[in-house]
Amino acid sequence: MLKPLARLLFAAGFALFTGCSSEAPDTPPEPPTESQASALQGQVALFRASWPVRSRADVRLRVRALSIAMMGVAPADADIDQALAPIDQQKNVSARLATSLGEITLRYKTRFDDLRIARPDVDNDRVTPGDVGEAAAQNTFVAAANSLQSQGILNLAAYDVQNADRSQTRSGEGAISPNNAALSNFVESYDFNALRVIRGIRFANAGLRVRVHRTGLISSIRFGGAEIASQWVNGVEVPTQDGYYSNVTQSDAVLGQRYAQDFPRVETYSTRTMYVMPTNLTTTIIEPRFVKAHAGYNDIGNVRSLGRRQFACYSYVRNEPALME
Amino acid sequence: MARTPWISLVVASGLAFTHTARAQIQKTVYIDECMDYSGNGCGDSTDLNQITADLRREMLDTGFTVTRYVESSAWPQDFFESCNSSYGSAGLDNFFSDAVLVTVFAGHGNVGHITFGYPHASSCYVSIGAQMRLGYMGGQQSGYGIYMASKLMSFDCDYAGLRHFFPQWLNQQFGFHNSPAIGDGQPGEFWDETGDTTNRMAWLEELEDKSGWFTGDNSPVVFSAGRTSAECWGIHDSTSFQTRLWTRRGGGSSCGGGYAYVGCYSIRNHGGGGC
Repeated sequence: MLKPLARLLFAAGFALFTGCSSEAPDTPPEPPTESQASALQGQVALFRASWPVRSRADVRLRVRALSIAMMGVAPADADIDQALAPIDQQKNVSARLATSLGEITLRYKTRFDDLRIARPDVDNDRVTPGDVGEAAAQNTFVAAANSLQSQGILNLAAYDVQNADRSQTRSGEGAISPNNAALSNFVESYDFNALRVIRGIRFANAGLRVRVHRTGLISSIRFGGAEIASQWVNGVEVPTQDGYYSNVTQSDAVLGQRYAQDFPRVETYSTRTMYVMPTNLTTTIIEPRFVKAHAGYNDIGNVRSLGRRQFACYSYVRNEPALME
Repeated sequence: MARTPWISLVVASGLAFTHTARAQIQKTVYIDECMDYSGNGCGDSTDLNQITADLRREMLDTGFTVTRYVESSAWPQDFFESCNSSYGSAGLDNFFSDAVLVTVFAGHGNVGHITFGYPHASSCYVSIGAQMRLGYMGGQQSGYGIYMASKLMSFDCDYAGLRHFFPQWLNQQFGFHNSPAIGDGQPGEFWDETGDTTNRMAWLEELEDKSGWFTGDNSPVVFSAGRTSAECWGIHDSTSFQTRLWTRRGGGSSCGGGYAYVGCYSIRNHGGGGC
């Protein structure tokens, strides 16, 4: 890209006076490694997966179900329907809706069937004292999942509710000055993330996330993602349409070695076995993959710079380059 | 890329330029984005996807004026404090990063610094704590900083990353505790979302995952500032780029001076990445 003239003048003027910029070295990071990889053997199932294209009416039912699971009430159907009008043009939705217990925010990403609703009044509540703790919050999360199942939009057998990932949203404050910068640190919400599970293997691109505010109220729910073509036979999910079975031909050890060769200069953050749907496709066959999350690095002197996070996703059934996300 | 006339005139003529507090909020944005890190003189590393093109469009659609530079046109000097060479030679923040209300960087980085893809005047980095002074000193127009690079706001090791942003004199700053995965259109979707919710909620919700992923890999951070605790939380929980925008803070110290305020933050913590 050519620089504007003014910028070139600056470059010429300042080139004589500038020196190399450097800074004190950071401590070489020791990233935490989350290892959820499992040694797959025998045959695995491959499924037709797609990002569903939902009608406005379908999404309305989901908004209603999530709202009831979150707070026991829902906005009027007519209001939801009006807010979801952009779906008809395959556009994202962002709106605020009234309920008898206060306003909710609604966000729907049409491309990824990604629905989020939240209670701003609960999310912003810094006045009500108390902290219900993680155990009670988890009970609230499970109750919300049960509510969604009873309302017919979620099959508990297909979500890893009991082993949901747990994290927290935290807040804090403090007086900031060059000589004084102690920050407090407290829980804002307990966050539970249950990924869609296919035959015991997590699916990276679909899930249920429930955020339980420290007061015990649910402050937001996210639900949706890609869907697979399947049916349940004797409690086991089996592929339909053009899904099929294939032998595992690549071991964790082999894939780990390939990864090390392919990405010699990365900080690796996690190792997981997951089904992955490429986000640049609308439909494809998915399979279990050996997934490494990493960021590339570059060291100049003592300064290490990092790129942003990428996911290298290797097939267990084919010897092929990693799918990069 | 077209420049706003007043910047071009001042830069070209080398005239001194003095800002004063403005009664009306100037909805202006400056963006530097680097994607090509393949051996251009600042090391050889992973190239990045483009994430501010959609953001720029969303900003324009909501009435903001946006100046955006990419690749070799994005310079470390754009972020160097300009009032004194002790902050870095030939600092230009008074014409670029600190001449607008919202300042954005997207590219490589790590705890304490942002890294550019191409060197300019032998510089590849900006040491955030040592060389950046947004919102006061030279320029003093910025009120918000958005940083889309790895670990800049790391909480590990006693807030090692976040501490570098304490010397900035801004209403709000947005970044990540760990290394984030960010889809091409996501910053734009964050901006779009601020039409119906606060900056804090939009940043934490939108940037928690790469679009289309549900794994919760990112740890987004929002850091706000105020004169008092109440003011800080008020800004933290009410500010929206589209519906409730505060003007720049004003009242910061002059060149070389210190800072004192109340800071408050929220982090969606899905783990860090070391410090």
